[in-house]
Amino acid sequence: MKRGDVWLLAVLAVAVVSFKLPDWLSPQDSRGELRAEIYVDRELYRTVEPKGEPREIEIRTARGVNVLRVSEKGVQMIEADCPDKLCIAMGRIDAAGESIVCLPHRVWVKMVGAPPGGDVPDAIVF
Amino acid sequence: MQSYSDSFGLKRLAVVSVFASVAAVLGIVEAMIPFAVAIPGAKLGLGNIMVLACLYFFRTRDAVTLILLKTMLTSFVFGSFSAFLFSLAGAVCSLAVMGPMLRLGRSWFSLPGISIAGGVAHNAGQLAVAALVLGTTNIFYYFPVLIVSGLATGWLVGLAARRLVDALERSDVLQFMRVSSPVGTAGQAGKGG
Repeated sequence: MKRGDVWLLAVLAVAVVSFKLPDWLSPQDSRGELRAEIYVDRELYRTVEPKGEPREIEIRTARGVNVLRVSEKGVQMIEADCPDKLCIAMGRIDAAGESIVCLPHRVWVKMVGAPPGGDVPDAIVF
Repeated sequence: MQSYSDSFGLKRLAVVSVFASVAAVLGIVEAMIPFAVAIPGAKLGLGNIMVLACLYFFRTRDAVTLILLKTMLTSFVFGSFSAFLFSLAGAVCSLAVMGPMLRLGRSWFSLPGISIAGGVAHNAGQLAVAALVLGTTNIFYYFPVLIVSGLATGWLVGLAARRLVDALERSDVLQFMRVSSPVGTAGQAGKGG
């Protein structure tokens, strides 16, 4: 540990906190039902709701094809014909604010809305 | 004197090329480790060992040569042009941070410290390109996770680089740096040529 290292760690700590701060101060927009918005090349491609029978949705883009599995448990990328398959590695997302990104195909799946189940109170007043 | 320094430059180019190919192999080895499964987007950054060693012994522009070669080689192996651009953006950001940190002098930053900063800068660069491509800064929500994982991986990579640099300084592989360097002894060759 040298003096610069200490400064570096301090800067990184500040960075982590400042990137997390907006989340803590104003939680995710939780209006409406929980849904996954699928964006392709910056434009809303489709919105799906994580409920009902498990199903698979093909996302056809100019750059390639992704397959998104939608179920009550959330959404998950299960196929992609890109080389890195990072979007598949991102696993299943089920809470508002989470994202799956497939950069080679410019696909962005984002969960928005209320928490799943609807049994979470809007607010707790003492 | 001219040919003397030319042969020095040639030797340096050869060593930088070897460093680049080792970095490329490390990148391929790394791709075989299913590390991204735990934290998508996070990487061990083994190739950074070679970049750090290169920055340590040679000039910043030699490290630029190294990352260009390394990124090209691994992109040929793994595929797409966009992947090449993403890697390059990360590598350039990383180098832009690590170069000046090393040149500040040995008393300021340890190699693990420089490695951590480089790793985080690499992530920042890739997220910035991703934000441009996707048209949203939202994906920076992921940055804190990458910073924390970068602390761990960067530290390990820095320790490995430390060992490599020590070993290279003991060995006679880089002897020519000490004997015939026109810019001074090994490790101070920052502003040479």
